[in-house]
Amino acid sequence: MLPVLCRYESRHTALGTDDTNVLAEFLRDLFSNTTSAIKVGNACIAEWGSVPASEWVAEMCATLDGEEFVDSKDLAAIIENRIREDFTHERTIEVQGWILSRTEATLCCLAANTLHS
Amino acid sequence: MVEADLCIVGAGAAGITLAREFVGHSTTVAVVESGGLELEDKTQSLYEGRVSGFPYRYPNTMRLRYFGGSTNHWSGNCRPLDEVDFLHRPWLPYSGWPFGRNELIPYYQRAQAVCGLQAFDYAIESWMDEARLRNFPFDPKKLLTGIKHISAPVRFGTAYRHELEDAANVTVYNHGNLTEIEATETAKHVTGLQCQCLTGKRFRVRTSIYILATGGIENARHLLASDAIQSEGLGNGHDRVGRFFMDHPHGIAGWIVFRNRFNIVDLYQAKTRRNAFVKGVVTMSPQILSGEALSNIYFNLAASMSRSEGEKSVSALLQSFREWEVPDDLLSHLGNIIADLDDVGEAAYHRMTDNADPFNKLRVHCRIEPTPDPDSRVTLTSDRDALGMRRIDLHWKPGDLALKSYNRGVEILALEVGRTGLGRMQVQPAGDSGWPDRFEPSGHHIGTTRMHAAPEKGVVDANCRVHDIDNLYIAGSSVFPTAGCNNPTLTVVALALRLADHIKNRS
Repeated sequence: MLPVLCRYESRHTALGTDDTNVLAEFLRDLFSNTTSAIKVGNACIAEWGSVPASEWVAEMCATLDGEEFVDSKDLAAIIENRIREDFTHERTIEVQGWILSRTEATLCCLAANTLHS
Repeated sequence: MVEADLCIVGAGAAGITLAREFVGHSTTVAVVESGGLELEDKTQSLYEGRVSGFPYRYPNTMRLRYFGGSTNHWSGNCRPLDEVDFLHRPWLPYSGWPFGRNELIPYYQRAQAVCGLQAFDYAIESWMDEARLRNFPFDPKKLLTGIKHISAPVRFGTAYRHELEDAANVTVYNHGNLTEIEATETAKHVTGLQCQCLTGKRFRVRTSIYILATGGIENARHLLASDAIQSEGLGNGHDRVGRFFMDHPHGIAGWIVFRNRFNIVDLYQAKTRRNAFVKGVVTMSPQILSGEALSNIYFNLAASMSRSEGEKSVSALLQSFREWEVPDDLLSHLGNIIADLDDVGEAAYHRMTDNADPFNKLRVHCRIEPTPDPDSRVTLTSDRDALGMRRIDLHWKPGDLALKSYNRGVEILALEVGRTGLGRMQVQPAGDSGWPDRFEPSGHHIGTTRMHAAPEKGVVDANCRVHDIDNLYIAGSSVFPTAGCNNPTLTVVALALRLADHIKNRS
């Protein structure tokens, strides 16, 4: 689905896989507190409407397309940069008044769709 | 009969400033003030009237009708109008003053002392020399940091009463209400003022020069009510008097939740620095105002401490921040914030502090420049007050451009907060009117006797003289053609000083 993300360690191929368990592991690794990420995600979904997880995956993959990273620290830095670019280019969503970047909102939606429990 | 060289009607910020300028001068001055030395309900009720446009807290609760005027309850916030405020802006109808900001700078400098402030210095660079102070790293093409000075605040009635009492050439007549401005048959020269006390006593004032300094609504009311010669009201040959009423919509636009960087926000705290009580504010850059065709806006930031259970997660988040780094658990803490919005919001309203503890968030207060609109206006009704004067109807229209500018301005601030990694901003939801529900007018009554070089476009000329009347002047914010977004008192005082100089030179 997203070749560039599949180049590195297996656990970071999550976004490009259909394996839900691998994706969940990826998200748990990204969010130290998945409960809160799910809360944000659910709030975003309430704004955007329910969307299949595959679409969030596709959007996230599109966001990260072309980026290379070797570990989660790299990935966090890439995501932070994407978040800043979102604010620069006004790619934002308003959730209960909070102005969030589309990247961070998408990740939370992905968490909400994937990490139900 | 009261006789003098100069009559000033109204003893508020403008009237008292004018009168003080003549202390010890050869000109004899009569100051006629509606109230006494304390607030009195019967006098205050002379302000009452109707409201018909955008919801408005009625002006008799906003302005004070006794010696010292509304400086008896003003907040003391002072900042001169911005350079852009004086310019003709094609996107802002009826904009443009007859002169630029530089014309007022010498008077602003003098106004500082009148308002109890230190030297005129509003350049942010001047206040950045303290080692710990930093401003937010916003894109300067979008947002700037400015400075405002905060007065004690000086209550003009208390501070300057004895100076006027001791002046041999100035006499203050309290409890004297102007009821009619008399003029020659051509309406080109004022011949006297009819005044009345609430006790029924009447008297007449006759001087060479007259200045109305009764506030942004009453100045227009007096002209409209003086209809014996001109049926449409004195000085109203072009139907401008009472029109273009403006006030600054203001309120809490939202909150910024940000990292724990006290030395950054310190600049935005009201503190004494170099003997001046000053505070940083966020303003829109001239480029963005012109580029996006916005009216002027300023953001006043107030720190809030987190204390509620819900906000502890915010605090934990902020403690974990490192400069220009997003913490690993940013998203999870955002989840806590969103899950606990009520606590966050409630606490932001009620908790402010100026101590040295770290701040978790800033409450964002916003003030917006209203749109000049001839249909936003003061008119007279058939109702009459205790003196027999017709009461007013206030039809306020803050303007679509003001609302658009507010929404876009807040959006730009939120985007910059996110882009710079400072944190995130939560904005107030819009109410039915399009404005957030808790937005309200500021009590700044502006524009009803607007200044313009052309008689058909304004009520007073660049010297604040009523067009076509050789000895009637107006002082106060009613002469502002546009309102800017800063508190008007410093500009009111500066214009009063300028008017005093003009009259002295005329003499």
